[in-house]
Amino acid sequence: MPEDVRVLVPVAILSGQVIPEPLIRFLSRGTIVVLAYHEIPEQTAPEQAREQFEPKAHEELADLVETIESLGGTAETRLVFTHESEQTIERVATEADCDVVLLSNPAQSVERLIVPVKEHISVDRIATVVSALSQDPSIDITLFHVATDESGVADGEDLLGDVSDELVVRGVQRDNLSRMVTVSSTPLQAIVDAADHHDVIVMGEEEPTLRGRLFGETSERVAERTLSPVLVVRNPTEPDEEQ
Amino acid sequence: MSEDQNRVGEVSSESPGTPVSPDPAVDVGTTADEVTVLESGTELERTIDLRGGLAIGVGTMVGAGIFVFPGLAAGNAGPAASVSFAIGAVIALLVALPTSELATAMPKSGGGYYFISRGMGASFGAVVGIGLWLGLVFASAFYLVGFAQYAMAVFAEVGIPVASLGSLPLIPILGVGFGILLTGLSVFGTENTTKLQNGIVSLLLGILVVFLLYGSLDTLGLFGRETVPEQFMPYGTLNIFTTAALVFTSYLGFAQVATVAGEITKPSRNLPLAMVGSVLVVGVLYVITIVVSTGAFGSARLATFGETAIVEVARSYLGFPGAVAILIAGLLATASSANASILSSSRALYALSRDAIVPPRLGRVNLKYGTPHIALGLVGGPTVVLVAVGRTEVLAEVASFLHLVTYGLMCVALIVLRRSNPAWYNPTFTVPGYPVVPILGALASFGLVVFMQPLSQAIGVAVAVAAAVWYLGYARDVRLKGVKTDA
Repeated sequence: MPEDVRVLVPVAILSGQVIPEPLIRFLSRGTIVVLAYHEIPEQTAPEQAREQFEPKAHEELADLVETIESLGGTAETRLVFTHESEQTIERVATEADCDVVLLSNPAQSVERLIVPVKEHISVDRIATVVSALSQDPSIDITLFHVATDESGVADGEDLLGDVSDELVVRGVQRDNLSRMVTVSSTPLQAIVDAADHHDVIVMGEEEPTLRGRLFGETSERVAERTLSPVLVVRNPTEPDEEQ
Repeated sequence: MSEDQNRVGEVSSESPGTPVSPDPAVDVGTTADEVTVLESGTELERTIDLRGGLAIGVGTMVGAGIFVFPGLAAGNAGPAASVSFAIGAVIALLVALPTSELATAMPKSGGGYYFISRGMGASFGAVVGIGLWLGLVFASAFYLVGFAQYAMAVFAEVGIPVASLGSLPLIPILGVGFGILLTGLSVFGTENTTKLQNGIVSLLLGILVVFLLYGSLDTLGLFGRETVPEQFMPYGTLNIFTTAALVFTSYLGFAQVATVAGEITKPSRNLPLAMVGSVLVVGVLYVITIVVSTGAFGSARLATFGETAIVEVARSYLGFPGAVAILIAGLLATASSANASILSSSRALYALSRDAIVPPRLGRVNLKYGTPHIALGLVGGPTVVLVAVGRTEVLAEVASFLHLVTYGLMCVALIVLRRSNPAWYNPTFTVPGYPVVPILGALASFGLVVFMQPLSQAIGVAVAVAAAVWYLGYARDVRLKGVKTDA
């Protein structure tokens, strides 16, 4: 049995942001934590905005939860009024013990996953998340590695082999897995190019600092430069908190 | 999640006259380090850290004490103006400590108004809240006039012949123009400016520390300078106190930290540190500024330079580059003080509207920009009117008058709350030296008002009376939960 995976889905409520239904259906294999946030400028006290917008925000949030449930998912919800959405996303991701944070982009369908893997990234965490969300045989998974020169190709293939084995152990069909190692001096661009042929990107966090690893990092820049949603697999906040 | 819950009531104005529930537990939520969680489950993020809190306090205050007052203060009190600034700092500290306690017990938007209305009832609250709104309007106007004077000094420095336009009242025109610009930016600007504000304050402090350090060493004779010999108190003791009353506007910033108490992270630690810390920082800078300034020119000559005297002081110590640096700093400081005051004033109006002491629609936020446009307009409008008609000293003193009344009443409110000790009153910071500190704070605040010009006192009293009349006419039926009503 795959472990339960908790996915944080930040939604800019009251601004018309839509989470695509295929994506919701895909994420519904885990538990969805909807973080509805409303970002307000500093001229305004959060409580001031709250008084005025809370009912409308609750309404929109209820609609979203209904959609998630109608697609077979379970959702927890948080509603936050904030000056800084990034700080809020970090805080709630930690408090709600989420394994993955969604950087949303439109998605027509979710059938092809790409999982860029690099050294020093928690293979175990990525395998847990990918296997929990992709038991479905209709989902193809590309494990992807960028080597900066030819000498790194063999190591990259080994790395992807490890990830692949981990996934198979966790119940993913080997037929659905493919591996790809590319040589490029611009890894970010290589990921963006490869992501063109995929629907969803799953990648790990990099930096040990909360702010650094969630934002302004490769994952965020990838999300800005592709049309696909990015799922950022969080590192454990404190190693001994995890089983 | 910390245990320091605060359970202060909200207004129950929808059915005036009905008895108030003795239980003040209305939805004001639970305070944690980075968030307030309301009972409805909705969360309000806290996003201003200690550095941001200090930047609000220091950024609001430095505009006046260094960049507007040295010439005026030295003209009134001589080198002893440094004592006047020190008196101001002591009074501000005596008030900042009780304010810190109140703010950690009630980390909500609204600051002084909120504390006094919960401690002493809606009538005092209304007078204070309206007084704070208008007090900050006067303060904003004062800073805008200061800004315009720096803009003029810049024109003079780059050689634009403003004197040839002598018939035009350029200072009011510049002040009004910039006031409208700032208000417009507050309404339509959705970019968060915290980082900009932090950066400006750091830059200002950097410029000032370099300038004052060099100036102090030079004044002490290290670089062979001879200070202008002068009697310390050429104008007598009384003038020290009247000058203290005049320059107290330089300390109207620490309480602004309390107006954003609901947004400060780790409030029980950061609120007291930000308030006390910002008073200490600016107090030290002010005293040194006066010593350095009077050392450079002697107070009589310094006074002839008027509001931008500090530019000439910088020129005498550091030459043209020093003058340019201080001119830039002066523009930034007065602009940031004006901006901070306009925003605080709109918070005060919001707090009043939340309790229905003014029509609730004044606190409305527009969905498109997310800003309280009506409240900001009600601050910016009167401000530019005052810029057009006001004189620096009177604007400053009226602002101080209205704040000092609030400060005194906050000290009283603290004593009232300590004595009645309602169940919700659980401050996580307690004022040292209770009851001496709040009693001294109240006496000093009310006492300083006595030393102001009669015109300023008259305007201040008129505003307070008008606020009381408004309360009696419009809001007498308002009952605040969490407040013992004797009706």
